[in-house]
Amino acid sequence: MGPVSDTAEPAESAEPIFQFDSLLQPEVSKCPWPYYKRMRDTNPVLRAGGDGSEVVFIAKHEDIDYVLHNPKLFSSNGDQGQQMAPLIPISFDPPVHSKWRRLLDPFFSPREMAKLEADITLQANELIDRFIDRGECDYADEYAVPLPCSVFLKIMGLPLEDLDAFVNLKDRLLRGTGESFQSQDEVQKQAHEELDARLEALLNERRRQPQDDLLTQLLHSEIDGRPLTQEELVSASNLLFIAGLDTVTDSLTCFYSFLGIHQEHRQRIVDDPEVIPRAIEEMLRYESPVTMVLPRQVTEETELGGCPLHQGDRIIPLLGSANNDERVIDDPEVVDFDRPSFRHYAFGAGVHRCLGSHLARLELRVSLREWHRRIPEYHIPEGTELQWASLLRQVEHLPLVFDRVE
Amino acid sequence: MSRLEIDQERCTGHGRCYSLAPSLFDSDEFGHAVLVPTHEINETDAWTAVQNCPEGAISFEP
Ligand code: HEM
Ligand code: SF4
Repeated sequence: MGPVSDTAEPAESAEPIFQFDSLLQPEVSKCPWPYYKRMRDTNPVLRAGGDGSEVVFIAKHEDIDYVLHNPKLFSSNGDQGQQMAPLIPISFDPPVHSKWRRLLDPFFSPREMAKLEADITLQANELIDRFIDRGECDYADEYAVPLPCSVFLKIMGLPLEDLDAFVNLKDRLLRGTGESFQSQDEVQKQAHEELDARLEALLNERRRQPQDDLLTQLLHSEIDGRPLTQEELVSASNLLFIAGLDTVTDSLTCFYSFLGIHQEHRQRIVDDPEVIPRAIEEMLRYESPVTMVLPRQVTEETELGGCPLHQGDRIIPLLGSANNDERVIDDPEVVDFDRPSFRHYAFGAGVHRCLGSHLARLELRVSLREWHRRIPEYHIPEGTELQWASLLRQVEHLPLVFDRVE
Repeated sequence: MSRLEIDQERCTGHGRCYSLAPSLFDSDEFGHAVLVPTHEINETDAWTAVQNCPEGAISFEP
């Protein structure tokens, strides 16, 4: 193993190993598996930050399965500790949630998404054109960030010239100053207001002049036999923005930091492009770039894995731990593109199963296909120290050197 | 006579079934699964779908 390593052991630390802020540590984000495992083995239901805390992390596949499939007991509704308006559909429970999903699902069905394949292919290639002759690139800045953003602009009917402004807005919105994830900081609040204002202006524009885009379609949709209010329209588009950009960037940078080190996996994709859909599922499972779902609020006294839970407790299922739980999957630490089957939760599960999963899979598939067709051999330069962002696992700068281009 | 079923209450549209076993499953306009009418149920495909459905929504009796 060269100097680029993703298998560092976590430092021996004092108990409890997993505090509320542990998830904010870059080294946990870089290499979360040993933390997950220790948590599953020693504290699978962990009240973070001592007895007083109402935040409870859960780590076992079985418990996470139970929580995600019991929205009555574990509600997505309510105060999430984030001083912001509820977002459609993620902050609602059934039956209201189901109504929103019935409205939104058809816009993101596999069949609808397939119509975007040609465009995404074009966009991926245009990005590659910009750096392929240089023989190297910053994969994050030059590919993984702009690709999902430009796909999103396309879906929303926004001009591509807005790309840089939107990337910047997205960064401020999701990461703020990056210091806390309990409450939003000023930067995030401002970014939220800015996004809302932009979306409102855009909606007004579409109202006057309909286009062939998602916003126009939403404007003409109905819920409970009436058109959506401006507030609802902004809320739904707002969430698409929050949920649909960084998540794909996270996944791409996780994948390429893995492939840039594990040459045999990279070569497999080059030799056998048919494996790509399975490679994506397996890397999503292993990497679990989105580490958690929205906290679920406990609605009545109950228990989980023998631990009492109180009304109002906020449960945080660690998806990456569920996806690497040796109780339900053989050799979770092995990345095996030929793994016959696994019910991974990288996109969540239950009623809130990721609305954009078919779009995400399409973007990832096209990305891997076009990249490896044109740049089959690449590696991370020796001595590179990768910087990992937390919560949403993302490599902030990912230098790649091309050894062979087509 | 073998039996393949989708529990529509449980299905949330992950789409693993129709991606992995398109001969048996298709997607409706919501991205939820529907069965493809067929006389011959390929057993391997059926089990693959059962084992990959994150919601445990598919049942198969060979
Ligand atoms: C690989 C990329 C992605 C990953 C790993 C991912 C992951 C997730 C997860 C884990 C959830 C569940 C949250 C919860 O239960 O509280 C979720 C929900 C959601 N995702 Fe994604 N996502 C990805 C891409 C996208 C994209 C591209 C979109 C854009 C359309 C999107 C839109 C949404 C929405 C709207 C929800 C809320 C669904 C609901 O509450 O019913 N996601 N995603
Ligand atoms: S894999 Fe399961 S949840 Fe997903 S579409 Fe098929 S039946 Fe539905």
